[in-house]
Amino acid sequence: MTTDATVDLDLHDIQGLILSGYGDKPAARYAMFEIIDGHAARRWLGRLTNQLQFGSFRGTRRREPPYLNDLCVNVAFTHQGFRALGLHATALAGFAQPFQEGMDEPNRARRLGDDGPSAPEHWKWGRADQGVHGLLAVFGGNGDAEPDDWVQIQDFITSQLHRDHGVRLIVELDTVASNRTRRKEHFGFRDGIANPRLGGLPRETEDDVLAPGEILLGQANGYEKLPLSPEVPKSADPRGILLAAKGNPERHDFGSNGSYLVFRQLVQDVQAFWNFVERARQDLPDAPEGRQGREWLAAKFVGRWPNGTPLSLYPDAPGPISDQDTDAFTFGKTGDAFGERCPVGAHIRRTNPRDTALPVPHDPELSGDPRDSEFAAERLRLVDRHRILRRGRAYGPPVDDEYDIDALRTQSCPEPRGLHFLCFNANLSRQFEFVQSNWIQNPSFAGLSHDPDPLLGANREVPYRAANFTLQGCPARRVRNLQRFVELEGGAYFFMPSRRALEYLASQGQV
Amino acid sequence: MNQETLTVVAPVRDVAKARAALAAIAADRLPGCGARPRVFADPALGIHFARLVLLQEGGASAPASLVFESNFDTREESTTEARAEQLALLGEHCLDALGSAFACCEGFAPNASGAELAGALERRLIPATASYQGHTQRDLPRIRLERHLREVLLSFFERMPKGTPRELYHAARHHVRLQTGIDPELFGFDVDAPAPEAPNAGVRSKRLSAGLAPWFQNIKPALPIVFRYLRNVFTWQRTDLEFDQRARQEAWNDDDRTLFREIAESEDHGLQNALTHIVPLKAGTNRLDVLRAAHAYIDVMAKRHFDDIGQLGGIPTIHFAKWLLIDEGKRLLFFSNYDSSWESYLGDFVDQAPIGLNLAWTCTELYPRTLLMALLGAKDEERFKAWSRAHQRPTQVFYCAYPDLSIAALNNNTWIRCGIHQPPSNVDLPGWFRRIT
Repeated sequence: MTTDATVDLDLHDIQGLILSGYGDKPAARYAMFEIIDGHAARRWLGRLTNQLQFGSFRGTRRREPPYLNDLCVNVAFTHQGFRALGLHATALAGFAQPFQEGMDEPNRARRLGDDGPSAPEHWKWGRADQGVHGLLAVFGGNGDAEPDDWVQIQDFITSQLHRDHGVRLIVELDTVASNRTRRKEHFGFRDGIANPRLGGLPRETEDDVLAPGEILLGQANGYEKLPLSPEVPKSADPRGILLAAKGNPERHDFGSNGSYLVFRQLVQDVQAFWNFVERARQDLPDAPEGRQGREWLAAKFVGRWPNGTPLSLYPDAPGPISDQDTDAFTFGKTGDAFGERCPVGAHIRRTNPRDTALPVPHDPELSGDPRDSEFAAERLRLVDRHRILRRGRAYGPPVDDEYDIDALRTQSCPEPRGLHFLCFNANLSRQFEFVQSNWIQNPSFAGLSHDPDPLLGANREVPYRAANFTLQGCPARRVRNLQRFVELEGGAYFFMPSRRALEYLASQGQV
Repeated sequence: MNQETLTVVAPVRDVAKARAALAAIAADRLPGCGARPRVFADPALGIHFARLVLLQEGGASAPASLVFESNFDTREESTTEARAEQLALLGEHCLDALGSAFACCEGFAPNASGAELAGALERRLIPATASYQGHTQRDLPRIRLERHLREVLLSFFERMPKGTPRELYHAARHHVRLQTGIDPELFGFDVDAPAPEAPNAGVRSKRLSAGLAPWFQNIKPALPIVFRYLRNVFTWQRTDLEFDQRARQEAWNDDDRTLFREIAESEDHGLQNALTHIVPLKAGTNRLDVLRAAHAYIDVMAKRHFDDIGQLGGIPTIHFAKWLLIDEGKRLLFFSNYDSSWESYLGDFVDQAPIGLNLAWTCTELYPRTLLMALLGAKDEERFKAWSRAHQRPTQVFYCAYPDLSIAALNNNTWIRCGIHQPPSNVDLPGWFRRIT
């Protein structure tokens, strides 16, 4: 794992959401907007920047100032959005290709598995013709979310996104109060576990620390290189608002201290998931009976028990909750190199394989011996090239407030619900898109043959022969004909710029 | 049974017609994943992989070449005879398709007979400067049989009650024996026969654990060239351009964007993908000598050390790879088939094999600057990937006989099959079970 504790991030320049999920703020709403008048929008942006939450609060302990604002507000733009704001052409051309093309580009959609009902043609927002130029993310409340908190958030959005400011609201996405979800996603599993930590910040543990440049542009990444960044010619920034590009004094760095933000609205079919689990359980020769069996098989799909404790540590029943246990474990050290506890195709193992020997865990000559600690360290180092920083929140009411797994299966509750999946990374191709296409969608992940991710399901546009889930063991067991319980309803790639970049944008066109 | 490879490159007279011919071949596809053209699936050809590529550098009016390349099964020991035999088969079985594509090329007559087409193709064969094959010794029927056997075993085990590994193994072996009389895909499979030739565990283990030793053992023939041009190597190190993708990306025009879109359209239709890459050499005849020496070194390493075992220089996702010089040594052409996405393949290059990559490409234009030809270069991850993409070309027609099979799975299936012929020891049995997953 790469870490450099001496890095001194300019927290004052970095938008707060990159550095924190604002766990103390239970209420949140995302507003997508279109820029209809670039000039007016730049002036508005200049005023808005003063109201945004920047990262200074991460420089101190939680109970020491500076504190979070009452409302934590952050802003990000799509490539179309930066164009509408009149950003310099050199910077527009310098953004990463996926960001320039957008999440809805057809070849990208095929690679990410956004097909069938998840195909861009069915999206509610985010497609190029739907005019999403920017995102205003607003977080509020304290402790339990009160009705007033939502009103305050709504008032803020309404006051900001109107025609006088050169912007127009496209769609507003609500979340469910985080105190109500108890950190669980709608299938009933604890979420938000095992997020990597960003280097350069004060922290309590050295576990799982990423090089700052894996998330932020303008900082060294895991290869000890600066990520490619959108820049403007020095002459286009006569007031010197932006930092000079490192290694090129003729350029100023627009991207520095900014980060690419992936936003995907994922709708979950909770009842279908638990019904499928029950049918699959009945077909497995030696699955436990009834509720216990359902919990066991669903845990196999996920790789964790509903309370978040990993199967690799607690193979037979959920363990006591401890953040240290749930976050920092390796498959090799827990004796689970080959997937007998947490199957190699389980969701958490695909999204973060840790020290799993790739491409085939059971071929130590080819892939290396996962029980060897030196080998495990090298694997972890390679896997760290593909990590993302998740900042998602659930939306829609829980099917059952207690997340009782039988209630989740039997109670019909037609209101839409799901996850607003948000993540930050510095390299969309190597991080988010890699995880989605090479690990989640890949039916041959880790030596499997026809096994896509059991929660997010099979790619439908590429007609593979089958979609199964294998439980390793002697003998192995198999769940056949996986279905998809999660569909994509909208999505976009945003870039969350630094304070300097926002001030630079606001200064454009001023005489 | 051997696996051989051939490459034909011919100058194109009529680009529009050639493009239309390739589009017609690509459009007649097999069902299932892979977007595979039907024409190369004829079992008589024994083709593992094939592609047709129209290469045109420098705008719509620039000269163009048509490339056909394939990997195929052969019983011939001699490479020359194997290729001649394969070309004759292509003339016989793919006359309409290949005939229509090559009719637009110089040296090819319209309405040629099969034999005439084969003869013309043979005259345009180009040798590789270096090549690697990840799974020789296994022909198509065998790869398919072994894939099916794994499925038979997994389907059997998933219904079996728990038992000791030995009991389960014997039950499975008995099951396979019974299935050989029922299951058409297992007809002729003899459980009791000795395990067929395969990269045995001992050989593979020895090669994979040899570390740097073989690299030193095999470098001797390249040393005279290295010493002869040592001064050049140092000069190049100082004077070569530092490739800067930022300048490049900002300079992308609509043609570049169309090209990248065309490449993306041809990718990710199955598990396997094809890479077609062409880049001019840097100026100077010395570069050509150095490149030839570097490629000869890579070729020897591939043949003696990496062929068969399913990994090349630490990368376990390459089915085959080959480099060729065309246009009298002015341009370097590279073909490979790899598992999973481009990003993952290039990432493996950067993480596992930067030295080999640098040796192969350091003499080509705009390659990120190297140190002593071997260091740095590909270590500059984003710039290296940008350079690779900038010189990649769309593969208009791509055929793969088993688009859902990774090379790791293919080799795994071989080990499983060997375990059915030769019962594993008590020590090896748990490992054998782990492979069936």
